[in-house]
Amino acid sequence: MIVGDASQILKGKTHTNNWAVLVDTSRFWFNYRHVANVLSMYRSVKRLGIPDSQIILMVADDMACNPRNPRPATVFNNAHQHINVYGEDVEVDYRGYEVTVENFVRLLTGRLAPSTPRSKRLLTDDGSNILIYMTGHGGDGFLKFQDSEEITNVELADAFEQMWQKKRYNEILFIIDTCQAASMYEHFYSPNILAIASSLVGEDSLSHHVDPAIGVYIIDRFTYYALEFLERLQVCPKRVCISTVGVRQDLYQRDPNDVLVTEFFGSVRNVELTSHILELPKCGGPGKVGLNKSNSGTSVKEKTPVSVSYVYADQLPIHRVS
Amino acid sequence: MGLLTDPGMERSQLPALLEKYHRPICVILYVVGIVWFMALAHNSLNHGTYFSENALLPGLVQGDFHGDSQAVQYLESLTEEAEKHASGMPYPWLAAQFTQLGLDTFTHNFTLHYPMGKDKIFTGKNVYGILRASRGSSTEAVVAAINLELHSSHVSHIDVKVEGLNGQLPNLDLVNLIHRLCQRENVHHTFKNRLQTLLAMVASQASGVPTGNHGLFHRYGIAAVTVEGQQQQGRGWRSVSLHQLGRVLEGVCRSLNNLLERFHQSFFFYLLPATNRYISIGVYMPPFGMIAGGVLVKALALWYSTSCAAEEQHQNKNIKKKVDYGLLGCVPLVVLMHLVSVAVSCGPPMLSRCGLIMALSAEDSVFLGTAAFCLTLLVLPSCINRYMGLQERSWEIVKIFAVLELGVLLFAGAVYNFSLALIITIAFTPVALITSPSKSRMKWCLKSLLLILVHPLSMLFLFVMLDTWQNFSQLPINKLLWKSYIATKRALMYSVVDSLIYSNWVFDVATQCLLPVWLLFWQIVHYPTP
Repeated sequence: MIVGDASQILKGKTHTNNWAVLVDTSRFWFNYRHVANVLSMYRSVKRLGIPDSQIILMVADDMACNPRNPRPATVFNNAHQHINVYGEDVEVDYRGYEVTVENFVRLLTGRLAPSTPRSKRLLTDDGSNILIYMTGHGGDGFLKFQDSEEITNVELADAFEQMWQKKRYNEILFIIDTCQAASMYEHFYSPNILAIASSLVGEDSLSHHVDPAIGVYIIDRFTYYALEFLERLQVCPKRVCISTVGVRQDLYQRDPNDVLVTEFFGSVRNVELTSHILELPKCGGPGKVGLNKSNSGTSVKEKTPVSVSYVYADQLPIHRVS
Repeated sequence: MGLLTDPGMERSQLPALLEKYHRPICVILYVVGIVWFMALAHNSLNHGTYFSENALLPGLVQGDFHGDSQAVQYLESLTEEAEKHASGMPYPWLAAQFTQLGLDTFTHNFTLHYPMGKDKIFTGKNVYGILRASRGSSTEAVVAAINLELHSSHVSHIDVKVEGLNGQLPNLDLVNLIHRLCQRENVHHTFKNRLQTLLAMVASQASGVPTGNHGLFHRYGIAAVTVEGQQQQGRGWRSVSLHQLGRVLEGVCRSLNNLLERFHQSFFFYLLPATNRYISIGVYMPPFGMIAGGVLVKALALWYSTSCAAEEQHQNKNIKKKVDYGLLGCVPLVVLMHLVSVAVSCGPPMLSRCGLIMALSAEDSVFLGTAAFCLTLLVLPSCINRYMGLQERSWEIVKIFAVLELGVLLFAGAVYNFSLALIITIAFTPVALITSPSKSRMKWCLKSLLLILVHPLSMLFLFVMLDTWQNFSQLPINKLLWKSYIATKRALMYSVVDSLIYSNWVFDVATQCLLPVWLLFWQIVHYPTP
């Protein structure tokens, strides 16, 4: 990374912090894949740097502890069972019957009871970029919550408008993986929302593959390829997705081609500027970052060359998620 | 009469037209209805089966059944044990085996008071084990039952039996599940294993007798089927290994284990023309409505013509001999027929006890007693004609009663046991159309003969004969008749016992609903001609 290009990289970047709201709305064992979808997405945003304190994870059922699960305490998103997406540090903020339309709308609009703990609040401001990912069973104009209620596209659009009026976001990336998903963004009318749907109105969103050892469909196609996109930057074409991915960008004021993936999936890091010069220790090259022993050393036989070559240490330590 | 007659009727053209053309209308409805129903067996008119219940996840999970050799060992030790207990079942051994497998094992005593003949009491035990889900919430409920009938370890294919008591059926999802898993494990699977599958299902459902032990579960809301291992020799039949069968059963259990609630998504009322095709109630009811609709058309036409006749009689004071078109006048006749029928229905237990005195078996005494009673009833019209003075009453009103009662029986019965209602409809609709007193001796004889053919008892004999002929087609006619006679006796006995023990409705429907209608028809044919 070259320092001179920083301004260019940051050009158009308008936000100061990142949040993610990840929602699985369906329960029951046969909907295992929806839980796997949302947990995979959770793992990805966490890997890309959004901390748990800024992720609201809503999971309507506990697949890991379902008595039908032959691999207790795990949730996999792939039949090879490479990645246990229900790893060691999953923080579910709304679980089971807490996942309701009311709680979801209250979370977005910030109209929560005063006693609500911090982990269940979306503490965003007008500088926040929010990634909202939803998965479940839906139809034309609605998304089912649990087995008893549904949120309509009008209700969702109104909730976003309320957020905008309350200055609760800078930009929203709305991603939804459900049948007839495009119907859910039809009624949006608030600015700065980029919406992506797994399927158009009249289309079904399909599951990707079965894990015969667990005996359920393990992940949905759109989410599977969206995750692959996050790993390899390859979009979900109709050939593999089967459903047509819908995108709505008329409310979004920037050219999506200029927007970095990390503006929604990553996190803004705070940079503190100092006025005095720091003396960086001498390095032997990349990978050999260490304290120069000369400061506390005993022998000063080696003469320091006049031209000092500095390298940058790895700025973003990769958060290990097993 | 005036109160019940629509004053607008005379002005309307429709009833008059209906009255005028009701015969061709009835015939067309009847013929088209039957042809339509038969045509439902064709693939363009029925639908392919599919799963309505998402939770089943049929066949998604990899089976890991490897207990086939163990099953053989169990069978061997069971037969060995059974030889030691020649008199009965080895209950302690069964219970011990279950306990050893780690099941919660229970024994359940039952007593049966046999209602026929001498007061016999049967006692027995049921041994059952429950496999608890270790990580479950211990709120298990019985949602489905699979009854296995394996006659030996050599199985060529399996037959899936669905019809339960009174023709009740398990949810279609369960039936589909078994067929799907058989297909997956390459097990040859059939339904009815015969040509004319649809008709075979109608026939077996109409009897109301369950085709296997599964049939007794349906009334408790438990979906159940019997899986019978069939042995068929010859080419084209691969043999099914115990391993394959075990995997099918494992798949069924694992799918049922995924259920969150009782079966409720798919159909409970259906007919199956093949293992992978179904005819739902919405598809088979219209043709049934056409076949049975003639009965209602006839009742309407009769109602209109009697109203007109009554009106005419009222206006024309010159007629010397007046006919009574009142409804109340027929009530004693209708009530009498029902009382007689109730007597026939309640007779068998008493007949079996009387038979004991004459050293007759229960089977003989019930059949001979009932048949004798029914024969005696044939002369009922001549007694009634002598004592009740029916000359001045209209026979049409009696017929309206009979036809409407038949209509109620058909349409209400179709919802309960469709096949039984269908068979009664096909047999009785023509009779309902032609029954009337006639002056011509020839016509009178023909009508009487037709009525005797559709008498519930003769219908039973005819159906049993048809079945016997299908199974033993090489027999000469006299042997066939004798065999049919023996089988009819047994069938009657079974239907009585089924009615008393399992509350099978067929005997009661035949005696308490169908017989009075038949007796009214018989009375009408033998109505005194003025």
